[in-house]
Amino acid sequence: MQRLKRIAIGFAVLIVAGAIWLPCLHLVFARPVTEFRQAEGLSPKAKQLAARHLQLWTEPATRQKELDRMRASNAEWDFMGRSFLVWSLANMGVRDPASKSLYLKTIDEIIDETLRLEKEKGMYFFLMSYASASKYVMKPERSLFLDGEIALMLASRRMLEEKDEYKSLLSERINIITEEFSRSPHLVLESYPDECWMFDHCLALDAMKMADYLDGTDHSKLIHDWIAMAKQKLIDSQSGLLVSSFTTDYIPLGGPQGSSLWMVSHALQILDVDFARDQYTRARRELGEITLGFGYAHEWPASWNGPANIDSGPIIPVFNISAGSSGMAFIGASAFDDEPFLKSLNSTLDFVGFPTRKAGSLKYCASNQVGDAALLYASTLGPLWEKIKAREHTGAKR
Amino acid sequence: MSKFFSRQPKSKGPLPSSGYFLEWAGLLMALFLIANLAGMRQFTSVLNGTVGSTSLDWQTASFLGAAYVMVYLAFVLGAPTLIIAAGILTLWRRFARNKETYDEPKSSA
Repeated sequence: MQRLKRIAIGFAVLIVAGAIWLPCLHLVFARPVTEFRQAEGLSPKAKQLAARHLQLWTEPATRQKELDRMRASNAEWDFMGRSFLVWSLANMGVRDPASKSLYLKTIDEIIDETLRLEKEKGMYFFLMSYASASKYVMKPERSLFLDGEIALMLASRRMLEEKDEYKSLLSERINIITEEFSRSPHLVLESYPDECWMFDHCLALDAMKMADYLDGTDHSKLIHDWIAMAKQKLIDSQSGLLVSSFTTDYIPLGGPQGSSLWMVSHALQILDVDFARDQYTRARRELGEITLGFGYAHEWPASWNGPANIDSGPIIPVFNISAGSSGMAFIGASAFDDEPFLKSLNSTLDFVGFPTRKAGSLKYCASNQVGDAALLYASTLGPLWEKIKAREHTGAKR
Repeated sequence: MSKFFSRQPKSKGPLPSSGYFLEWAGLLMALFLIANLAGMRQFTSVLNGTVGSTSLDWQTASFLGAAYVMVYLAFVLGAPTLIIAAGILTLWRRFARNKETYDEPKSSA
């Protein structure tokens, strides 16, 4: 009897101790938001993440090992890791002019290698295997995923510093996308056979916007028409959020997915600032959560029931935490200066991201190269978008 | 460490031993250190669907990653809880002893 009483008291004390510890846990991982992102210059975390990525591009063997790990799961990640790194370095060049030459050198290396691989191995090299399992609706087959992100890489590089060789490459890529839009009966382009992505459309339109800034072209009508079409045809009626993927006939495929939406809301900032804010506010309400000081994000709003997939990553039950959506939420929170959410996300990252620091560089073991590159982008984004917005507001020349 | 293997209750009286909780906290810390030294941290990339190593098969890498996450969570959530529980029990015991000391002369008077 005495023993049973002792066990019961032991459990009760453990419950009380847990109730004391759990609400305090986030304090161990809480850091000022400036550790992740600063208005000017580079935050400590951005510097450490960048050091790791720059190291990958100076050590081919290490990079290949990292790419092999990612490509074993998803060939897309190899490509997106390059894109996020280029966009990050372009922003970093504005934030940290002293290291601009190093950033430019790395950007050029990434772009040149990516274009070479695309040319030598074809677009399927960077796509998941199901891309070749069926036929694209539009001919000749192209993936807006590749065209849009490559165009945005070229434009970002040129925004940091002009490079004549990339001028024609950007124009060619933008002309291809524009021509495809003009041939598309519904103003939507495929990334995979009969599978269109909101993420890819918004980034392609961003590239056009940058091309307009750089080369004096004018794609404003196409951008305006596309946004109007998206508002009318591609909004989930329950949540008011943009759907992430859809067919060429506007049939939604994956509903509003956090792993896409946070980036989409950021991408919209230079296309339609009010719409961007509206989408972020809705995403924050429907997908973002802070529990006991830890921030995270769901992949879908409560009104949509979807299965875990390669974009969402594994979904942690009970809380419905999506690794993919939570990682991309950094971009949304950073782009919209949502400091409470960004700070709580950062606490979660240090809690369950398993950071490893080595000689001034940082990587998250629970992440991978593309995940860390997206985090780097979240910690550095801003300057390129500001240039575009400044031109719009003041009509200033670059 | 003998207490982990002992079936005899070490504590006298109605309260469990705070030392027992501290031993468990120590064990969780030791497990966490071993998992770190064994390099299991890198396998946590399983959380995003990436294999932890191309030299190991997917199942082994996933198992190592999941095992590390469990050991880590047990350490981060469990060890401080056990230490706080040990603290509560120590305070409780002290309070009970003081109460006994206070009550005894009163009853004998």
